[in-house]
Amino acid sequence: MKRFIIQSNAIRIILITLFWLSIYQMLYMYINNDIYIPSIQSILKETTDIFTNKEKLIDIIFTLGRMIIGTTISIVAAIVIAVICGSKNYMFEFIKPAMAILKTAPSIVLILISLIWFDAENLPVIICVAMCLPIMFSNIVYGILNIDKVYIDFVKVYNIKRKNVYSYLYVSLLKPYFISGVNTIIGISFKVIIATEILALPDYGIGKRIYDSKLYLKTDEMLAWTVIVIIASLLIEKYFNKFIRKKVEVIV
Amino acid sequence: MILLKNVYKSFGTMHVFKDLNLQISENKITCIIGKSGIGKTTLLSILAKLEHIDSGEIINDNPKISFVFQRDTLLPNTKVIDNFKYILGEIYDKENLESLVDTYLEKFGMLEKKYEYKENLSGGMVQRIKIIQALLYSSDILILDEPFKELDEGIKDVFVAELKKLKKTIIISSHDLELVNNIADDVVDLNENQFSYTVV
Repeated sequence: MKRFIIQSNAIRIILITLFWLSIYQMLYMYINNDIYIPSIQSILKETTDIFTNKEKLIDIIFTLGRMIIGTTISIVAAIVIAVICGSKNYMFEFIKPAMAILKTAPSIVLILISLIWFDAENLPVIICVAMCLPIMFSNIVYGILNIDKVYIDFVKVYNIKRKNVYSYLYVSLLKPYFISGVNTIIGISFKVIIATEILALPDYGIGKRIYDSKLYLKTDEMLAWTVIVIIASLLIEKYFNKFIRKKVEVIV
Repeated sequence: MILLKNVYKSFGTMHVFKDLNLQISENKITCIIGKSGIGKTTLLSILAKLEHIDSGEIINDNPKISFVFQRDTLLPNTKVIDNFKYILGEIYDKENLESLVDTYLEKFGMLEKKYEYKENLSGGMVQRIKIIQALLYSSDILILDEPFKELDEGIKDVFVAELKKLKKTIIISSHDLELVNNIADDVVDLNENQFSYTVV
């Protein structure tokens, strides 16, 4: 039965993929101009080239590294700030406007302003933190503020130590908020880092390569990089969920 | 001894207690009965200092309380043993805690559920864990809000026997009049006169 479900799922995915590829192919044939719409074959060829080119692999590593550093800083900082804000209301009132500004400010404005202050190598990480931190913070602080009163009463009655409140109560109740926050920022961080790389042009990075492709009208290479970003983002999200379920032992 | 003198408590315009006077004897089992919504849980919360009173006085010589809440208080996505470590980890060392938990879990037919997640337990099992948590926590007063609602008869008897053995002030709210007759030294019937009640 299970095997049958897996097989039918695989068939469904293949059929959906084929449908969208054929739509693309029809568009390609209709436009008939490789600069506007490159062929699927040329995109695939460019994708393979990227994986076999050492220099281009370094670009992927740099962007991935920036993404990992940026999201890690965002997660850790968001947890610390949210826990402080969750226990001290005046701190929440104090932090709220800063987070609201970061959350609503257009990312392009932040990038352009930051370009004046920071060098191109560090800017993607800074912008990533500026974009991801408020999202992660909102998720966790919302989880803390929504802890059921009965759990708070329980802590009071049993005089549970702060250490145990953090390591047991917060971990168990905030897990869903944490996971959904991380899943959201994984996708966003890639977009923000690449957008910043395109504007800041650091020495290495996928964004820099996309900018070069655009400059030389190599649309197929540009789309090949996009395919790589999408695949990397999906893989990271998938393996993060797998890791978190194994490590934190979430029951779904 | 716990003494409530001229206690007033209201939620908005709804008066729950108006001039409530109550004395709860030390080391006895006091049962609080009354129809739903009359204020049994509010009274227990006031005794545990979880609810403020509008006016009046509460005298309580024994501040250490353990409380079995009517609602589920076990941590989600957490194993049974970790729910014990959560409240008792700072009181007992690891080995003592494990052996105490094992003894009580065995007594109440739950030993095989020690490493089970809360989500895999039935309502009755969750209730048993909550009561064992309260029993293991060293307190002067044990408050139980509708503790036997989801328990089987056999397990109920084991808990009643365990409560009778305890040398501490026990306050229980319950709808189960048969159980109240069996276990109570004193009974506070909130139905009789909600606004001015004295039990000695």
